[in-house]
Amino acid sequence: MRLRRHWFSGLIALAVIVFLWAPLVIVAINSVNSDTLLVSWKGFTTHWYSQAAHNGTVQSGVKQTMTIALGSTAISLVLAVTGALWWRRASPRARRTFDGLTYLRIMLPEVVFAVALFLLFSKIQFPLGTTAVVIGHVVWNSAYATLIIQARVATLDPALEDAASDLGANPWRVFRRVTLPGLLPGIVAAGLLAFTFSFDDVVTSYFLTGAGTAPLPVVLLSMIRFRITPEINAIGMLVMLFTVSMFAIGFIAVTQMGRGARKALALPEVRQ
Amino acid sequence: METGAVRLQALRKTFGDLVAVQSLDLDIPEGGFFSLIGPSGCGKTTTLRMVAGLEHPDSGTIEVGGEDITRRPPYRRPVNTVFQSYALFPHLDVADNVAFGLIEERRPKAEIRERVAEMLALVQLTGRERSKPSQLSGGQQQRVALARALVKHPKVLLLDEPLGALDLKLRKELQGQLKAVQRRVGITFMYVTHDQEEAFSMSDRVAVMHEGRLEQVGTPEDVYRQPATLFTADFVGASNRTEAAVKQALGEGRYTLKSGSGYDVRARGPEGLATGAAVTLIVRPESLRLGDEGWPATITDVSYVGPAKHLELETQELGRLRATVGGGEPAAVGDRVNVSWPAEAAWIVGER
Repeated sequence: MRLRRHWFSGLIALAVIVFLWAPLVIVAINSVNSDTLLVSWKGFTTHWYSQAAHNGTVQSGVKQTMTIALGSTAISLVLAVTGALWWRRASPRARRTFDGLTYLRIMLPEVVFAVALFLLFSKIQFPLGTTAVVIGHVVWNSAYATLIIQARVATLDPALEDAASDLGANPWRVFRRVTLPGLLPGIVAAGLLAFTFSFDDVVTSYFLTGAGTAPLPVVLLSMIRFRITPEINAIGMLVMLFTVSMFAIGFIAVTQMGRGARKALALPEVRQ
Repeated sequence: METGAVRLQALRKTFGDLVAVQSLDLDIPEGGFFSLIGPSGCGKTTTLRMVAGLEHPDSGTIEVGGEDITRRPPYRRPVNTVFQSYALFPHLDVADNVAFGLIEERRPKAEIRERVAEMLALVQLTGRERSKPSQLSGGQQQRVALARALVKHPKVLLLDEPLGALDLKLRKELQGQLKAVQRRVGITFMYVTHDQEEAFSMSDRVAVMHEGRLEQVGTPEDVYRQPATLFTADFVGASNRTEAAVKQALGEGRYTLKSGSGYDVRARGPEGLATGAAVTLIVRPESLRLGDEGWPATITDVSYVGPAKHLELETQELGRLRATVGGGEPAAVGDRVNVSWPAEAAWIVGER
């Protein structure tokens, strides 16, 4: 039996799509609109893009965001991989505790951790800034990365590591030649997710940036406080493009993993 | 005396409260095909994994080629394993799987290439170098696993039920190949299986394990024809049993027994059974003969399996018996026959 479509449900669906995507479309249009006040279409321009590109605060914001995102992603991945590998061999009790602590970092409001870290850092006189923000991001980023990598670890056959060891690989070589390639799709997925979360974070960054260089989302926040300039649209579009292409690259990397894994890890080839 | 390939002394392993292997002593001679058989949970796989170094014994020692390797990690032992699940590396192709162990030895590339090609030829997989394990059939995967372990020229090759996941026909075929490969390379094979027929068809010697203990070690024929325990007698095949007592020792392992129903029977058995000892008399079904001599019996059941007929017989003196005769023998339910067996086919197990 086919379900009959009702005009009303169609209308609701359309409304949802419009409400979700209209703002993005408007941002896209306005990013190339010559009208400074953004009230009507006054012709095509790339002026806002070049203005954004030449804005010193934006430039340093992008650099700062990149540094923080890369740093927190790298640390989160190392913590997640080591944590997940420990978790695999842990007792059921230790596993439950570990899982609880992981979920807690995701469920508790970000602002709670941000404030707590802010208070802690002031108390021990740890300087606010890049390092502080990275630590703040690692708190939740490592939790997301752990969940993804744990899922991958659960699919690893322990017999593979036994076999590698039996064939003469010491524990480090077993990790590099068997465990790591097995985890790679999970690591790529977790890395992309962590990078994106860190890239667009405002709350933690805002609390822990201090007087130093602010990352891009914090820069954007302070920009719209004074005056909404068309430049913001251009920056928004660029961020969007960047994020989408990141995911595209990640998707290709994961699907090509068969061939990619060997090259990425420079595993020795033996041709006949 | 030559040094054995593998020598286990007082080997013991527990998992929590469960004793997997209790005080195992075992000598495996060099260059042969040795099988460890027993029902699941008897400790055979645990024993194999201890030799591989993948489990650590609680106590006891493991020697391979005269060297004590009890404390050595698996990657420094002169043994390699063919795993039950094959454990082929899914991200590597066939050639890279086989080359894995040689790369760990840091062999020159030319040598690796040569030895991999040689091994793949041995297991008849030349031409499949660039295939991924997932593209191979079960039998082919099994051969890659064999090649990957053999290419390292181990002192002992450990095989953990490597044919368990295959269908019967393929299993028979690979049994023949495994045996042929062993004869060709001359490496000691230590093979674990719960299938006694599989073990018998390939092995020079077998060891029967039960509840973490060794029941008996010997050639397949010894174990089958002269089982040391009732467990072994049952595990390696069907048998007719009757309880008896030793009446008189005739020397050289020959005895006269008094059976439970009061008849005198002659049989062979282990040396040194005392007069009056409570024993069990065992006769394999295929040793029974139907003819004009012997105990009168009635055939109560016939099952025809092609090359043979399995019969059930009822006798007054010996109770119910099982006999296996040729498929062409005339035997039908209700026939009255006489059943006998050659004296050397009756074997005494010194327990009840």
